[in-house]
Amino acid sequence: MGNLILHNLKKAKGQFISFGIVMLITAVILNTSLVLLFQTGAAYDSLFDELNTADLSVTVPSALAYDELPYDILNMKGVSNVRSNEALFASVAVQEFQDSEFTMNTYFYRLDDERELTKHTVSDKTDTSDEMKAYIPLYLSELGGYKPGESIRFIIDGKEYSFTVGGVVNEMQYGNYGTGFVGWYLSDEAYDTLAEDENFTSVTEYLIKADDGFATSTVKKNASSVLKDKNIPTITFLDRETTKGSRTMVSNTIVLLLAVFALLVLIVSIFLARFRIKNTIDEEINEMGVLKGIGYTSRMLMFSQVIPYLIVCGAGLISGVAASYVLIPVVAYVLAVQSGFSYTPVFDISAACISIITILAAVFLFTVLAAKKIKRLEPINAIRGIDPLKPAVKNHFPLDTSGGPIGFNLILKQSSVSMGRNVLLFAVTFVMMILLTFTGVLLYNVNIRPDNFLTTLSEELPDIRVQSDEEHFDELKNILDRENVRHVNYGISMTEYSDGSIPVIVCEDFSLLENNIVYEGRHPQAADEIAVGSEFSADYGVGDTFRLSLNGNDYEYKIIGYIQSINNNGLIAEITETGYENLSDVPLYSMNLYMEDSADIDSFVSKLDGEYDEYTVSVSNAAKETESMQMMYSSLITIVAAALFIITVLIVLLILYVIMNSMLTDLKTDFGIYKAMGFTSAQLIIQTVGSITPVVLLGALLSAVIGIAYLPAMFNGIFGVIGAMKNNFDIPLFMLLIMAMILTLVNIIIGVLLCRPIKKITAYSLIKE
Amino acid sequence: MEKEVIISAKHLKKVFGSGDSEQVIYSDFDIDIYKGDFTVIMGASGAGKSTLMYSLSGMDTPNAGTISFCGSEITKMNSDELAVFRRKNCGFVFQQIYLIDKMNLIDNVITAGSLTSKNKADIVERANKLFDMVNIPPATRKKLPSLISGGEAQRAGIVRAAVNQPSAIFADEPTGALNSNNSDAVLDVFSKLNAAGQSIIMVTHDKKSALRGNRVVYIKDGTIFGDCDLGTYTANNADRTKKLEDFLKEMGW
Repeated sequence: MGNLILHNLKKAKGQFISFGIVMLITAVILNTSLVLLFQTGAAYDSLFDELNTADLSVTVPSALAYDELPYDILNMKGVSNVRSNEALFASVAVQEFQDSEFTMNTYFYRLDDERELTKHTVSDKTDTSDEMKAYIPLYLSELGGYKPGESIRFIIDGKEYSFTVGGVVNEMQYGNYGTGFVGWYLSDEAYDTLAEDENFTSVTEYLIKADDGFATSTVKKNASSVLKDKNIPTITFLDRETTKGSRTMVSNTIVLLLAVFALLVLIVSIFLARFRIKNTIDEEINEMGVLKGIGYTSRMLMFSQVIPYLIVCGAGLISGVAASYVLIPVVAYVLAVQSGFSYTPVFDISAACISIITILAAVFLFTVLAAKKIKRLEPINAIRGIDPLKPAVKNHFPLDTSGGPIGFNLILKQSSVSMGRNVLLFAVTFVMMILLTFTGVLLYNVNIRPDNFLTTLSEELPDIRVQSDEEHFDELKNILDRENVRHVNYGISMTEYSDGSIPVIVCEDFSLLENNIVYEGRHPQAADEIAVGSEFSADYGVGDTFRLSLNGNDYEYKIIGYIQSINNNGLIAEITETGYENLSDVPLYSMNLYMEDSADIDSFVSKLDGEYDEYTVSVSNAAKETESMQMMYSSLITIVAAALFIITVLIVLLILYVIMNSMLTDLKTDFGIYKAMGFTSAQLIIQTVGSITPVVLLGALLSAVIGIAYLPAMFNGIFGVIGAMKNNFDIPLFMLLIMAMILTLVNIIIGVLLCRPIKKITAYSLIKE
Repeated sequence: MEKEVIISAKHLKKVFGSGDSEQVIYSDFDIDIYKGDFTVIMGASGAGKSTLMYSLSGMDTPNAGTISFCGSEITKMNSDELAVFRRKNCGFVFQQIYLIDKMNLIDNVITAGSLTSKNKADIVERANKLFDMVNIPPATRKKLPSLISGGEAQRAGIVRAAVNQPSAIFADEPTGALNSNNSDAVLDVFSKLNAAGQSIIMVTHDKKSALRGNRVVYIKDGTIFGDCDLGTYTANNADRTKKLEDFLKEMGW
């Protein structure tokens, strides 16, 4: 049987190489996603433990902290250690973040503070004479473009602060903006300078380590009630799991995408192997009859077909797993920038086993099922070319009676001949279209309709944000009216709920906003109504009450809907301005401004900073921040989409190679006959490529049309993981149809290239052979 | 009356292989084929009969020499020009028949017919006339090649070869795989076509088939070893039979 296997391998080596490459690609993608899936979380935990990071981190204004608080927490059940640090807090508008401005809630720590809990390391440390040194997270350094030794600036209320980046700091808490806060570490000189500045709030951070095996959530609840009893508001109250979830959110989503991609490629590969085996049986039925006749058993013949696939598949998978270790560090680095911590992925035996064994098992199963047909071949029938399981050939599209040109009917006739080929082509096209439309729609919503993407990821996207004060707020509104600038009272206040702190969006009228972030129910309208974030949807139903407190004032609101927010992991709420009066006598004095013409934004920001400076406390160009955010995501998504597109075309190429190769073998005699009749090579190429085109077009169009239904579900599924329960993506049918046309065109071009061997088939080769 | 030459080959050379394995099939070979003739090419196995026929029809390219076919020098044509030339001027009948097995008989014929005419009704009419002539009933025309007899398939093959009213029909041992009855039916069709003025060039080993021709060319050692004029075919003509037998004897058959 060994000879037979070798013979089968050699006979169709081009097709086996193609199949092997598809398997290699599958293994590269699957193993990459599995290694990252298995190791990113573990690496986070390992670094978390290595840096002895606190399980809970509570930050409160220093003015409200009291000396005994750590002891009160330490005395709670399940707490093994409590440490406190001094820090500064401010919302800063980081300048030139990818050539734009990015406002971030930022904690500033002293780099040289002795720490027992939540330690950090510094890499890429540079020597600089500048005393104002800042050590920033990898996220900020790589995404924002602030390399060690370069300067980084931010602005608070029009005042600029400049630092030299002294190095990149690695810590497991505020290393990216997933938590809605980012942490900087400063030289003593820089820290002291900021500490004296009234723009910075002095805060105390309590770092709590729970006993091994004790639930952090219980400690969090207990600590929260201690703080509540003492009327101490928190700025942040993070636990290990929430922090990990928000830090690894983007990387997990990318890994998930890769795994889905690998799965789709695997499905296509299995269809391919199945098709090839069935086709081989059809092509070599006489040979198999002869082999059966001389004593080969059905099992031997079956395995002589299956084993070459297993050998090629195994080789492809092993090579793919090996090759994935070239790709993994690159992807890991991209993810490290997003998650704000880096690690070196190592060889993962479980990922390798899953990648190799599961795919091999799937290929084995489906190829055996396809080859089972050999069992039913009677030797003499097989020698005569009779396949009892093969449905009788039908003369589809009879040329004498079918309407339309004969040439067109000839194409349809050839197209209808092989059901197996059509099923494979349809499946490949349908699946590839899923990948193409997914990336296409993503690209469209990121680059052409960026608002759709940004409103999915963000809350409100005004043109300008203005903070005023009690004395000037009303007059500022009058000025804005005179200037014909639409304004809506809108602000965010940090409040408390039963389990910690929560940002609450306060707005005079939510119907005046441009981004509707409610995904179920509605926005609050009355003073006692509240809409809460997705994180609360499991524990609180619509109609339940939700208690908020602020500076000692409590109020119980009625939940009337759920809102989404990626930045806060669904830990957010919104109430009306009148509702806010239940918590505070002091309004927020902040507004969102919306300009008629986006070209006027910069000049109006200048006007607010200049002419109307006395009426404002701070002005931020929100449109610019939005633009920088869009640029950040756009480049990442464009790279991912381009990579997916290239891989898709490569897979289409490899699969079409196998299909075309099978067709050319199958139709070689027919091509000779056609050529003898006087058909030219060009006519036969058109006829052959034309015969696959209807199925490709059908698969692509059907996938595009059905895409209208399945794409929203896909986007909801993927973006739901990161907290965007309702996405605002446009999925225009025309675009999906264009993608279908592009895929069909790619198929045609590849088909024409692969059909070139038809030129070498001569009418005379019929006789010679 | 002087016969009109439709194919004229001069100084043809055909070689297979190269170096030590080089096999010269014919060299400096000249032949003229006349319009309206039923030319039979005979010779021992390996003499190069089929090779010559396929060279003359533009299916194969000789290594040297020129072939003029209906005034066109086909040896100067590229493969696509030859394809276009063949569709108008040549019809082929093969021993293995080579009908396209996924098409019924009428579709096989229409596929060939569509190359020279865009008028489907005209093609179908011509095809049906030929099917009538070869005695293939309408119901059989709708059958796939695998569901009919070898003789019917070969007659359908002749219909396909004739549908474009080519200048010449080339037949390569058309009865080689048929039984006696089917052979006779196929040969009758050739005779009918030839009687209607169709030029036919046929390669055969079979004396009975050769009798259908009016000219028998015997190939040996890469040259025309003998050329016999049998005269017009008539059934059961003992003189023609004897003449052929004597000729073949002389050729060493």
